[in-house]
Amino acid sequence: MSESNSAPFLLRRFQSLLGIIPVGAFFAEHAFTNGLAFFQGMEHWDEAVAFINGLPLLLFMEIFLIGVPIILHALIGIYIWIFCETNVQHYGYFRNWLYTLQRWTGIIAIVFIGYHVYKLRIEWHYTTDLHIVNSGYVAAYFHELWHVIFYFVGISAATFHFANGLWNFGVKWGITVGERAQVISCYICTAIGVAVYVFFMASLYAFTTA
Amino acid sequence: MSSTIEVHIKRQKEAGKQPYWEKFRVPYQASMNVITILQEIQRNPVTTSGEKVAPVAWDCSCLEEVCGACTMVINGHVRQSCSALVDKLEQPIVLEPMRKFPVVRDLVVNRQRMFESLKKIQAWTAIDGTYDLGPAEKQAPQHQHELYLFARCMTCGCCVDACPQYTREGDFVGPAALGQAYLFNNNKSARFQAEERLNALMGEGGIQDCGNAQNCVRVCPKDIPLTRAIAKLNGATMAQFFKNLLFK
Amino acid sequence: MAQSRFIVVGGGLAGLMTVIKLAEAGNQVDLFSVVPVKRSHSVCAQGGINGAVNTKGEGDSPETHFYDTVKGGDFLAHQPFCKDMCYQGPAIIYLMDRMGVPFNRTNEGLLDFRRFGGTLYNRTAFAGATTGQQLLYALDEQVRRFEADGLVNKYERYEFLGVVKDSNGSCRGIVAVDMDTLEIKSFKADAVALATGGPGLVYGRSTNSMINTGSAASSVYQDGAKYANGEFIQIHPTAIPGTDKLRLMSESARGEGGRVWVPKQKGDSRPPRQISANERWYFLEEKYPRFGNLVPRDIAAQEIYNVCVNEGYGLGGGNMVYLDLTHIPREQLDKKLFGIMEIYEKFAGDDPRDVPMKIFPAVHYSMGGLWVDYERTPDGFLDRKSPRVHMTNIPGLYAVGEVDYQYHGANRLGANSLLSCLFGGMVTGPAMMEYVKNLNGASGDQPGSIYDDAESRWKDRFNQILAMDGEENPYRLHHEMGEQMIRTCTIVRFNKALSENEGYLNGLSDRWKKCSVLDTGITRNQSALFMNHLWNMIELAKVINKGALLRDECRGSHLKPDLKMEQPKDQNSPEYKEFLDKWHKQNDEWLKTTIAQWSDEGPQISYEPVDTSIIKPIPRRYD
Repeated sequence: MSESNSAPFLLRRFQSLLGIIPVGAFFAEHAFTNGLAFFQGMEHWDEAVAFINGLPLLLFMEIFLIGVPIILHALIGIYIWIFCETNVQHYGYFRNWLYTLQRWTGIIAIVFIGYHVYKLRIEWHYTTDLHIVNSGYVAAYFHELWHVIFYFVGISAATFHFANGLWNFGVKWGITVGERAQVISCYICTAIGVAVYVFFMASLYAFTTA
Repeated sequence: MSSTIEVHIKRQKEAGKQPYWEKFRVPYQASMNVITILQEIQRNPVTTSGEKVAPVAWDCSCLEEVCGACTMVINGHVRQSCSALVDKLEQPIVLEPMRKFPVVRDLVVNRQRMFESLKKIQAWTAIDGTYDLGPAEKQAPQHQHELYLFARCMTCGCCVDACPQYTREGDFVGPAALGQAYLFNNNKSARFQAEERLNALMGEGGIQDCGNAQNCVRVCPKDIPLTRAIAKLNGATMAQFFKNLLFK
Repeated sequence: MAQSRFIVVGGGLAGLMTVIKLAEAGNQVDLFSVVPVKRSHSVCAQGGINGAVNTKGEGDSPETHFYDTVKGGDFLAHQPFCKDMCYQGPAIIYLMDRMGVPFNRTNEGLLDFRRFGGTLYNRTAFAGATTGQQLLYALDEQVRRFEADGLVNKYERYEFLGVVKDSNGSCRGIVAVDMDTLEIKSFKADAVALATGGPGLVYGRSTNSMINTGSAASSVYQDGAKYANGEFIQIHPTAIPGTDKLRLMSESARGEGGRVWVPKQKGDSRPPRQISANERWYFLEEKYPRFGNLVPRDIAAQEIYNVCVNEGYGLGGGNMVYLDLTHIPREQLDKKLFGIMEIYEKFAGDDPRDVPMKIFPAVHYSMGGLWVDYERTPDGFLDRKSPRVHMTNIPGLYAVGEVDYQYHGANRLGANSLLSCLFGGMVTGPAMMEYVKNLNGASGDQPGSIYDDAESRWKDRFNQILAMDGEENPYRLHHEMGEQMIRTCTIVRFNKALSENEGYLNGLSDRWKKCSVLDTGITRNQSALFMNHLWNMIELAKVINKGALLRDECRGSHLKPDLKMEQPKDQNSPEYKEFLDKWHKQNDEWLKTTIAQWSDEGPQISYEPVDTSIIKPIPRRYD
């Protein structure tokens, strides 16, 4: 028994870690950048996008530091999702709701992110002659009401998944152990989640009304 | 309070057979519990429609919530039927077998898997023998108190039954076994096998299967702080993982 | 040579300790139990385990423990068993400590000990108020370790039906039924230990678990094993009345300072806290100033019964008295009595930290059980080299734990049962090995026919049961028998009622034959199994009743008010001398073991002398 195989453990802890670094970190950064559209105006957002697009090895970073980790996180996540039996209908406890939502928001986020990346990162390369995406293009995209609704749902799900995942990470890595520590970290994660959510929603509002 | 109690019971003739429901009505008695209902059915196994049926099979033993035998799902929640007092239950009372274990018959399930989990995590103190070797080490009363909380686990299965990660087909050892791993890793001499337990907990069905739904701690009839144990073991397995990686 | 085979039936403290002793020596053991062994009745033991470790500077010693035990049992216990047990007490507690039992600790980190009934010393080690559970779990863990090592093979949810005997009448195995499938099979063994517990269910409602039918003991009794001292049934003074069972309120409640009282005003209906101290009758403290609330159980139960039934002081005119802990700080109660606080709260609905508990005596323990043999050393200990220790009169069949009879005499002291179970297991395992060492021919060499015959006898029996479709409901019959036994054969016993019971119980056997099995399936057919239990319980009820009827004296738990001799207070008075003469005469006639042997006409009773060579019997006093 001492020669036990720790691969299952590694796989799950790896998944949890990916969700924070780099995926979660990128997610928070993305919220911050997008928030510029609302808090500082579209021109600042365009500048920030231009800055990012000026970074060296961007495509490499996008694929290997963001794309692949998200895909791995999602694939392992789907595997986890398949084997659980949610039961909030019987045990409607707060944590059980969060657990259940974590699984469903994960699935929503996969669909949302896939569509989002295709629409706002890939598609315009082939359908327009833009070098980099600009706020005008994005704003035009959000003239469709269902796009707004889709984004509202997707961002909500992804943000919840991010904030609750952050809390889970603390427990799974043995950082928040005591009952009280877990309550405090829940407040902290909620605050982070709300901040990210405000940035994303503000940008969505800004693009929709631009 | 009406003078009779209506109870709906999910029955099953044997493993693999289709479950079916039967309704019974039994006389009300002051301070009666679900056990008394089932005993009354034994004494008069007739359904509300007047059909004579076999008495309902269920497991029970101590009837004072220390043996864990009489666990079942009562009005949707898993718990011991001895401590389920009728006066505190909504009626009709609905009884079902536990959800995560193979049904043997009616409300009887086979919880052997839980005991197998205890083997996986070496839930014991590896004493040298039963010879007279004097007393164990001194122990702080606070330490005793902490261990006692976990030592009261009856292996009743409430925690695993309510755990969304513990499934019939899966191999997760479940919160009860994790609580015991924590108990033994903190016992004055059983901790000498702590590394083996932590390594076992990183394998198939190990601690990584916990999804933090934390139902376990809510349904535990003995209020065992299972989630605390799990969080501590999370840290310990992580440390063990790096130790294995770097020092072996 | 083929490896010897051992069977242990029953997975409580005594059974598991026997298994551990056998497996530790490298033997293969088959362990049978009607429940996963972790759910055995030992979990119900609450208050603690005795051992004269003397950590409180009181000058306690194993010898004093021995004396208290023998006196507590009204001198009916076999003294070498008691002596050896009490001398092993401290080592056994240390062993359990090493296994990881979370015994309560003192501030220095040493084992803590508390008071219990029938002694003036702090002698009882405890783990909260679930000591039996904690001890059982520790043994369960050790056995699981042997199981993982391949030495122990568990047959859980298997019920013992009977023994297999060879042509010489020696036990060569057992027949058991798989409770899930009703499949009946024989199992070979060179020695078998029954550790199947007490027969509390004979009384219907008691403090016992629902598995304590005494069925296994009754089965071997009907197969020729002697049953000893059956009439000595301990009534625990403090239990919570209930519709399904009577839940134990541990003696440790009084050990930690709990006080028993009733209002001085009969029928006083005020809430207990409004009744001031001088309006309360602390009748145990008043009558027994030296031992107070911690008199032995037989006396406490008899006094509570007397105060309620004969004198009419019961709460609200009914059969209940207060057991009061409300003067003890809450933290102390939670630290030392949490398990029973929880039970009272959950089942009675009141918080015993705020409101005195309402309790009444209930059937609790059987001092009697299967007769077992022993050999002693000249200095009064058991001869550990003897295969006869704990062996019944069926060679190769052992009995240990509550199912045996020799440790507790006419009344068991609180916290001695856990000790006797563990000690019993520690000597039974080695005795079985001694027996097998000297055995002629292993079970493997026996003709297969003895196993086939035994198996088919039981198959026939169950086929007969499965075909029963009479008018009587076995569960109702059991309920009725229990109520009758509680009424007539518990704290007070009258010959008239007992002799009427004889006819009643014979009538039950006839009515049993008119029962319906209720369920004809084979999957977990609990009523078929219960039909077998019920038959066996009726047979044991006859043993208890007959023993009680014939024993014309008062001793320990066996009280016949018509024969009660009042002990004069002044030991120098002529009345006392007169009393002493009568007392000696009574001892000459009755200080002996009741032996019941099964026959078609009911139990045949004979008597055997008791080894009282170490401590001379005297009239018991606790005031």
